[in-house]
Amino acid sequence: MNEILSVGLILLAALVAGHVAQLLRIPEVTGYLLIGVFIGPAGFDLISHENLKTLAFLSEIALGMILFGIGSIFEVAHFRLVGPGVVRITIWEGTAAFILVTVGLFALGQPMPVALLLGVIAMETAPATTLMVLHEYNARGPLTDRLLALIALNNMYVLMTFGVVTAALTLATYAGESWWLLAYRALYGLGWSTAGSIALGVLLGVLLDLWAGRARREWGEGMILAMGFVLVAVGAARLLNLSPLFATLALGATLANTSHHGDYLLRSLSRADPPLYAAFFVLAGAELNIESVKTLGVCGLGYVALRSIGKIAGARLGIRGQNVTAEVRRYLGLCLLSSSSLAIGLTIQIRHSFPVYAQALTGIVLASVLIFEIAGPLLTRFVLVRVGEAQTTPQPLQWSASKTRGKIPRPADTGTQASED
Amino acid sequence: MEIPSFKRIGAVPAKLVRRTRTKGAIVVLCAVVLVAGIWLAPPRITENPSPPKEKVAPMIEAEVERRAQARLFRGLYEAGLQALPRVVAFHLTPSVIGRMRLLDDSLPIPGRPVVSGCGLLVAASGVVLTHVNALGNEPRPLCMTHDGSLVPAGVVAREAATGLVLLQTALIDVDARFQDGKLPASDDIAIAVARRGASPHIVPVLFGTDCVEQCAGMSLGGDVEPGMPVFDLSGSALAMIGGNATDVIAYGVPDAMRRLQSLIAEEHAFPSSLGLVFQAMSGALAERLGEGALINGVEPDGPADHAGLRAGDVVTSIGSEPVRSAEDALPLIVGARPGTLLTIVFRRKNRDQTVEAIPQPSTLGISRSDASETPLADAPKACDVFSATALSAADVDGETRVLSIEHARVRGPVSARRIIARRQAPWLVHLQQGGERFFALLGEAH
Repeated sequence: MNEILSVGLILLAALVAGHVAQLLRIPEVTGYLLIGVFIGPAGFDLISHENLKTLAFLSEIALGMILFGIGSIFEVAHFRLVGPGVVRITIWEGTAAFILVTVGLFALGQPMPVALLLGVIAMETAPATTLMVLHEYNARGPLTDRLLALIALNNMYVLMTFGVVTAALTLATYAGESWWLLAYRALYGLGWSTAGSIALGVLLGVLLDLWAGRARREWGEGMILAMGFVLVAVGAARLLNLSPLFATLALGATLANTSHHGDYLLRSLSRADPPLYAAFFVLAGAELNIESVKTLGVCGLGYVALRSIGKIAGARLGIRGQNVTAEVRRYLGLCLLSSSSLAIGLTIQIRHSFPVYAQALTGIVLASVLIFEIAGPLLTRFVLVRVGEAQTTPQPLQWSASKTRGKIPRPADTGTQASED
Repeated sequence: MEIPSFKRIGAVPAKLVRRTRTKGAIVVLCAVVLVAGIWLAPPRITENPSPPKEKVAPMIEAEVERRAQARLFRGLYEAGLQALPRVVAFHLTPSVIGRMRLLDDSLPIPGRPVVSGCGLLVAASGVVLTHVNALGNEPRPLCMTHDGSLVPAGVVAREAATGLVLLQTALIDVDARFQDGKLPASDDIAIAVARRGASPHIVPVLFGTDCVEQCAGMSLGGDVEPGMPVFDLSGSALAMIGGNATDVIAYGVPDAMRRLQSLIAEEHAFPSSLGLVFQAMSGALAERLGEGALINGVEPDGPADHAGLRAGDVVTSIGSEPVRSAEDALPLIVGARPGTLLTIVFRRKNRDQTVEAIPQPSTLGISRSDASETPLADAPKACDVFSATALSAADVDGETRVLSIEHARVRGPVSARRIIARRQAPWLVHLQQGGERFFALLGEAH
């Protein structure tokens, strides 16, 4: 099947899946993922591996746009309100998952490097899936507010931890090169992927703001401008061996904090969201490997259990002392279980950097992503309904970060939004 | 179109600068970070740099060729092993080896029988096809079979023109596939197989239009020799190698068998014989005796014996055909129909004489009769055994006996001394060593 036909099929399948999901009262994102599994190589193979490979750029663009939207949440005034608490939760839930998975898998007989790398991957929470569910149910409330900041911080924390762990492993598996060059290489990788990505995002954000000031305020022009900069950020990050995730986050955050045009640009960009996001989730579903579940084994089951325990318990410990209801405190961890593209992205990177460990690790990650990717949105929906933050009318494919942000009441109920000044 | 004033043009950047002063600092900072990051990048790790394409292609080709050759060699060796049960090796008897050592004492004393050549077992009844040059002039060679045992064999037919020989051995119990094939087209690869004990000696050969060529650089044991059978890669016998070391000829097995069997049917299986043993001459012996075939021995009661020919006579003509050497005489005798009268001119004591003889079928096959002995040069090594003392005894040692000196029969030491005293050296001496007889030109012992 050629790529254009497969894109058309993906969009139509997504539309049908969305309606069916509404009927079944499950999150639409779950519907997209499941229809992806059905029409993907694991199902009826209407979308082949070759199609997935050539359409991978669609997923990258969509992820860039999602993180651009998340970045715009990092508004200084907003972040000052929820920030310290969210940072604490992020550190607790991430670290708990990391330690539990690392120690547990090491105890189950995995080599220490494999256990460490799996620990890092276990820290990750899927931003796109979680955000999609929040927007579908038009969620508002303290839990939603924290969750939005959490998923962004979580991804930054994961990337930095991954940098530290890979640097440590590179130094530990010293071979051939001089020691100082190896150390330099490891530290440079860590510094460059964070500082460089942020610098790129900030630079592009400032340029976008300057350009937006000169552009006509029409949604068409705004969309072209925003999308153009998001694509430039993703592409340039790849070119410079930086993190596209960090760069687009920084781009969104820069726009939110330094520009008067952020809201207009995000709203313009949101008009292009529905087809891209639908394609993103169907493709993500098509990439899930059903067969991998069969090879999960004791280590895989241990990974799933320990990651879940770490995330839930860590979030519970991190949220202690914050001014939230008992239900939010109890259920926040369940919303952090989704796992997706970043986990697979890290696995691919590990395969390049540490091919020795990739074999043992890939099977576990692929199988667990399948489980968490299907279960995650369902759990998030359950929690949103349980804590009463889900609205009754879902709005599939009609969301934007700015719109959501505008509807979410501040925990301290400060009223006006910083971005609307 | 309104042309903007310089004032307005200048006002835009100034306003822009004021508004974006902080942002400008941020941009500069970010740009510095990016440039510094790119500049400080450590050298990339190049894992296992692959050789350039132009070097890879010949390497791949060479590897492919090496593997193909290895596969071919394995196939040839396996085909050789499959064919080996049909190959027998002929062993020289001690008498022949002793004669060879008399000519060249550098030859080692064999601890076991020496292989002279090989042959092809054509039927389970023990019939062997070979070439005359593989037998080492031995009419009753010993055959080493597939199980390492030595069985006696006797010649039953010989084709004079080609030198192909059929032998009958004692029954050989061999489990082999007796399948013969036709001579293949040119450029087909096959293997010539010889037996060296239990292991094969395989020589890959290419069939030309009328000969076989040894494949250069592909031998798995040595060179092609007369008597080696040629097999295809499926184990069918194709040909028998004939000719000599320089001019190798392949005779198709089925064709050769048909011809030899027709010889037997026409009672020409055994060639005509006069009962003569010739000795090839060279060097001083040839100068002394002149052109012709030197008779080394005469079979008692044979046609030549009845005609009056004696050892030491030099045959110069047979049936009006001139004879310059033993090689000329052999085909004339072998090719003559048994029962026809042959006029033989010979030289005895420098006088030409003529006799008539009727050749008879040789029941000994290619026995010593009519066979050319290995050329004896001046036999300088043999001189040493003729010390004056030893000659006077006329019985040099336990093994070597003097039969005649200068055509005069030696009956004892006295007659030997008398003959030597009458004639100048060197003397034409007829010697017997073991079962072999030969003429040699001997001088004074030092």
